[in-house]
Amino acid sequence: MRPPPHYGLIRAFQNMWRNLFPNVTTIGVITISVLIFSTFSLIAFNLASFLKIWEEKIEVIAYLTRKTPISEVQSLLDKSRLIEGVESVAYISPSDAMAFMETRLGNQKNLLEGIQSTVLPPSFEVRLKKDYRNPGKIKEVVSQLKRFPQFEEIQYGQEWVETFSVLVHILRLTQWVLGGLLLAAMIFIISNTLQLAISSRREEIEIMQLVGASPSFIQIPFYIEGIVQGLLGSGLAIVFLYILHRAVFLYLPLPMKEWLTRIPVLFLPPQTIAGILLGGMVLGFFGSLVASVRFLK
Amino acid sequence: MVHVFKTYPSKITALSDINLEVSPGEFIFIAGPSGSGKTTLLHILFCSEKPTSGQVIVNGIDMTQKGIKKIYQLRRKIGMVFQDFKLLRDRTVRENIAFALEVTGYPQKEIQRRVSAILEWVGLLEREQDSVLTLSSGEQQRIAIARAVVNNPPLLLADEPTGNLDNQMTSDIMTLFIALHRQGTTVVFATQSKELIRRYRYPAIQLLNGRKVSSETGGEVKGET
Repeated sequence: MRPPPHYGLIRAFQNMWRNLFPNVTTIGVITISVLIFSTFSLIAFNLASFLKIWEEKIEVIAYLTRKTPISEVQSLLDKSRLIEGVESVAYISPSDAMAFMETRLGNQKNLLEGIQSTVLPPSFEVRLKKDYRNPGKIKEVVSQLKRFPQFEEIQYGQEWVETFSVLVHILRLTQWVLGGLLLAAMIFIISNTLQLAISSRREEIEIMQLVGASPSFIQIPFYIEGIVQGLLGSGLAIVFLYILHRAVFLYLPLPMKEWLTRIPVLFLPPQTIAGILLGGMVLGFFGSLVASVRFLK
Repeated sequence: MVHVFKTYPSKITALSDINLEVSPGEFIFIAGPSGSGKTTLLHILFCSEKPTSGQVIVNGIDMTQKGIKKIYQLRRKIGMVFQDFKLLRDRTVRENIAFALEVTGYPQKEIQRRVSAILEWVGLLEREQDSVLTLSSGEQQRIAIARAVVNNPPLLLADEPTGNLDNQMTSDIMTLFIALHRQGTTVVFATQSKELIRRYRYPAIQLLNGRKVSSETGGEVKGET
């Protein structure tokens, strides 16, 4: 005779209810571990999205010499557009540049009073294709633009692009290394907590063996408990992270809040949340597998 | 059991060359003082310990050669009763007995029927919803016996089941064992009590320091017990 399959599920929930304290402790440990991990993921995710937004804005400004006749501008525009990696090129005349400056200065535009637009050099705003918005590729485009003698100076914020790019690479590397270490620590902590929870039921397991329970009958409820604990723990971690995410905006000083409105600070996307919940379940399962193999061998 | 030896990693020899044959329907006492090897012998019969050498043959099958699957299936045909009852303290009387049937997959209706019948037999039906912690030692042992026999095992092993009980409770518990034996259950009963062996006059084997020192046909025990 075999117990019906749903019996394992019923027993898992009965066991959780009967052993509430060790179960709450295990869920708490999972919540804290997953919260640390997902906070880390949230920071990495926002840095990546910030980088993406910033990359969108990467463009090259090529200033024309003042001697460049207006008749040459169109042919130069056409030639520039043919350079590999260039998405679009726009001509900014001195008066366009003045209008742009006035817009940027807003209420303080009176600072520009008495200044003629002719003091500003005409320029080309060169937008790059997505794959070319990195230091190496930008240099390739800039070297092509430099072949035209009409360009006096070409700017693309060289130092900033390079520094930011290195910083992002370091952050991504740190994310993987720290994420890996954190994951290993989580498995270790969770499997030990689950082992403590299982050992608190030593008597019950002994009696199950005594009355002829099969090894799978004894182990399956522990695996189900591990999965449920993982799901609840990671679900709570997501809820706490969301509250933290909202609280950061509520309690930030006003100047910082204003600054942050320019940069969208996002919450984790649904697929990452699903991944964390699934990861929590897998973690709970392996934690209880390791614990039960150690304890029930 | 054929030429069974059991030596623990600490080099302590618990059993030395034990040969024991128990026929179906027999009642046998395993007598001996504390540390003589009675519990080890029962644990080997129950397959919760493996002998260092020798054979344990149940219904013609050498259980020392079989994997875990056969062992847990074998345990369903063996009831085991301990001196310390081994009941689940957070469950009721009924839940403790039902547990033994649930793990082996009996349908709920059948579980309820059997549990009620066995509780009536041990005289504790009116206490079925009580926590086992509210029962006396004798009552707890009756529940332990009920759990051990609720699925009608042909073999019942008892490891000093009356060791913690007074004379009256011992008498009540022995009445249950005798009733089971009369119904055809094979009983292997370990005890330190010479008085019990004299009174109930079943065959007894005497262990001392892990060796079988005598085998009596009933009621007479020699040695230091």
